[in-house]
Amino acid sequence: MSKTIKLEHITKIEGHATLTVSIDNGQVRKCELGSVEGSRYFEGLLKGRKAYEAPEITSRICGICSCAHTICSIHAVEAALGIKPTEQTMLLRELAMIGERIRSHATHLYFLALPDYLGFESAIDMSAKNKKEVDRALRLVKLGNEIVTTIGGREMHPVSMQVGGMLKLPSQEQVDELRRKIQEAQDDSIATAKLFASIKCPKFERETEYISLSDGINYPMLTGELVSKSSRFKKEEYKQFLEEYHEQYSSSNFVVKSDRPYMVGALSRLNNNYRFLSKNAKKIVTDARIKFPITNPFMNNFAQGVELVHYINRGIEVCRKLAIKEEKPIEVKFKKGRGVGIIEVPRGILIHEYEMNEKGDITAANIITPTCQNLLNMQHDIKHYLPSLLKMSEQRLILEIEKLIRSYDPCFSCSSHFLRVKWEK
Amino acid sequence: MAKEKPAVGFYDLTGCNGCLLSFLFNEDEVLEMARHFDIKTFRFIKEVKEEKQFDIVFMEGLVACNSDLEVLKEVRSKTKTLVALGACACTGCIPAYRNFIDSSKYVAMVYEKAREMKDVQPVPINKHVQVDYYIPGCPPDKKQILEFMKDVLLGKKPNDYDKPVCFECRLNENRCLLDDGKMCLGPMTRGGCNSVCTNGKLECWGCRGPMPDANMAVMSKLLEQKGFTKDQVRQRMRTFFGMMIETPPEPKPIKIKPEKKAKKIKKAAKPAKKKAAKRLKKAAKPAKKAKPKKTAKKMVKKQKKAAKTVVKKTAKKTVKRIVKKTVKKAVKKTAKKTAKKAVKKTVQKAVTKKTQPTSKPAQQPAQQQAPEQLKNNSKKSFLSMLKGRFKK
Repeated sequence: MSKTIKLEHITKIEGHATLTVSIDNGQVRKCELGSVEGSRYFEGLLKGRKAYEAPEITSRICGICSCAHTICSIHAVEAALGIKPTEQTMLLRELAMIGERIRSHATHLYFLALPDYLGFESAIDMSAKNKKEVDRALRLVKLGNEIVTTIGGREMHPVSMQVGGMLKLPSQEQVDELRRKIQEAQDDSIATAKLFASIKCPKFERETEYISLSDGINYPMLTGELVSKSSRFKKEEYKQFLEEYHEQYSSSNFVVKSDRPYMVGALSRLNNNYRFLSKNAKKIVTDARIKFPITNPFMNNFAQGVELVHYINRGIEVCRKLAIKEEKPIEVKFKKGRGVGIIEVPRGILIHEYEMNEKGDITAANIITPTCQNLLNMQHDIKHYLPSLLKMSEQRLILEIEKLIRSYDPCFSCSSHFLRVKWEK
Repeated sequence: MAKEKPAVGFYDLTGCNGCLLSFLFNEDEVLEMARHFDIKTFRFIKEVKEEKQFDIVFMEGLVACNSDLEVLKEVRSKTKTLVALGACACTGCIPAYRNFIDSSKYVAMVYEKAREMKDVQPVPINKHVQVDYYIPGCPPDKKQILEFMKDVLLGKKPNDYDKPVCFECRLNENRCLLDDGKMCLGPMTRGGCNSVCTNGKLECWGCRGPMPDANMAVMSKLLEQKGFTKDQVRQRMRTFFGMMIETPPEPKPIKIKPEKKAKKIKKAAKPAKKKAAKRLKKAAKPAKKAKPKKTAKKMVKKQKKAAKTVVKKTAKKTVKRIVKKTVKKAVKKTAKKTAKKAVKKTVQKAVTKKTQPTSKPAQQPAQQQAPEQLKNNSKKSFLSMLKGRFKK
């Protein structure tokens, strides 16, 4: 008996995607997951633009992680021009990223993932019976937004962050205020992590390669090298290890490392950097009697919960370190060069690479988003997970697959907007 | 509650989901709003979709592929009121900037085999269907979306903000960024954003689109005086609202040129290959190979030239029109002083033309006429198009 399952519009994820699966005698013959969004060719749009314009343009790639794109883009330009931002700038960038991480994780965990597990259709439905949880989520989102707004000037597509530094600095009072607010959110973050520790994940294990940044000092965010269990390489060398290719059914690319899928995201970060977590975050993990590394992709949700606790702690630490002093952005002097920026964003590692000429015009650009990197791994997971589901009703089966996809927190609007583009010179 | 809740749909075409998120980021009010509206569809956070009839649909994103177009047309036929949410839907935003790029520079691509993805020319949604309201901005101010929804509940006609960014920027007591030598488009850009970018000391990029009476020519001149080149200024203006001030060169860039080029070269290359198979390694051969290539190149060059002249001509025409129609005063002054008048006029015109859509949208017969209107629209001058877009 053969049948084909086609999920036309997968809901509760960012962007549009379809999944086509065909099963023949209990064997999965075909499994294609791809983005169906229109392409936006951002890499093409960057050509001929000044390097300092890139952050403003690439921020539009994604609404939910616009800070991440802005900062990654800034890092790539700075790497190309040899600019070293000051410590204060780096701390402010990290704080903005923490704000974004908090709101992104909260949005995903409560609005996109949790309704599946509690048996609701949506968070709006959920708010009738589980008001406590929904309110908590909204508090966390609000905190994240306040952090990003204080530093970046706006919740989305931040305005104050520029190549070389900050156009406008928050005042010390604002930073202190933020610290107070982050402290208040500690209970919420712990409650979130505990909630997701208590949720029963489907039993499914599949080992893959887990890649994340790691700088050997802190839990990774803006700095470090790319690491996995078996390899370690510098940011600039990413092209030697990661390879992009394209499939007909998807408007986003796929990325492989030596022809094999790998995973990025909260789970990878935790698998590689567990020891750098804050005390509170570690306590959550030991209390739940969970040991990292974990190979169950559904546990990505729990990993995000743990990260939420960690980033709240780290946010307080960064606020403490910050003693705002007046400084102007470092002046930009153009030169010919190539620069790679790789940072950890909510869904994994984000890569921006630009080449520019001596006038500062971008001549080539390459951007790889986390979801592109996870896409193939998701497919493989679905392939392995499906045979155990075949006895279920079709509705149940689809829900289970959707759960799996959602646990990755994919962002298809990000992923589909890059096509590998060959530049003609 | 005796009163029926308005049926609402939130849709997203190709875009970044940022505008819908902006709505959700009204953390304190979003649940309250969800109670007052009957949210039928919201793919981003909702599994179930009931796509029967809507009173209002908020549409995010722009049309960039065939499926976008299908969704858009279907939704238009099911809703009484269509609201373009965010810069992509209103002006095309950055994704539509692609229309102005010489694709031959970057397109011959690895993406070649996936032609079936069916890209269409990226355009704001009002190029395909009639739009009743616009909430501009990249992203739109979250309070502005809330304000709009409140107006709907109260049966009030939502208002457009009719002053340029400069107005709010002054109220916020910011230092003028033009004086600092930055390429700020604030004087000609529609406000309502509380000058959020200039508050953060970033120059205005014009994400909310130009004012209906914006004087591009003077703005451009002003910036040239500040030391920017004409190209830089044009590039900047095209980034967020290029589709509103110019008609991009037609034959759509992505497909046509590379395909023709590829075909010609292939045809030419085939016989050469056969000969190679026969091991004819003579000096004459490369010459044979080269000839067709040259012709192909020439073809491409000709096409390029033709495209360029078209652009030049249309650009000149539009510039002439603007100069004629708007008074040649400093941009700031005109923007402030004439803004009110112009908007009043357009409002009056619009009111006489249409009934108010949100309060009793069902009586609106304009929907069926939409396609013809649009056809006419595309032929009109850019300024009248502008007015048409912002008319309420």
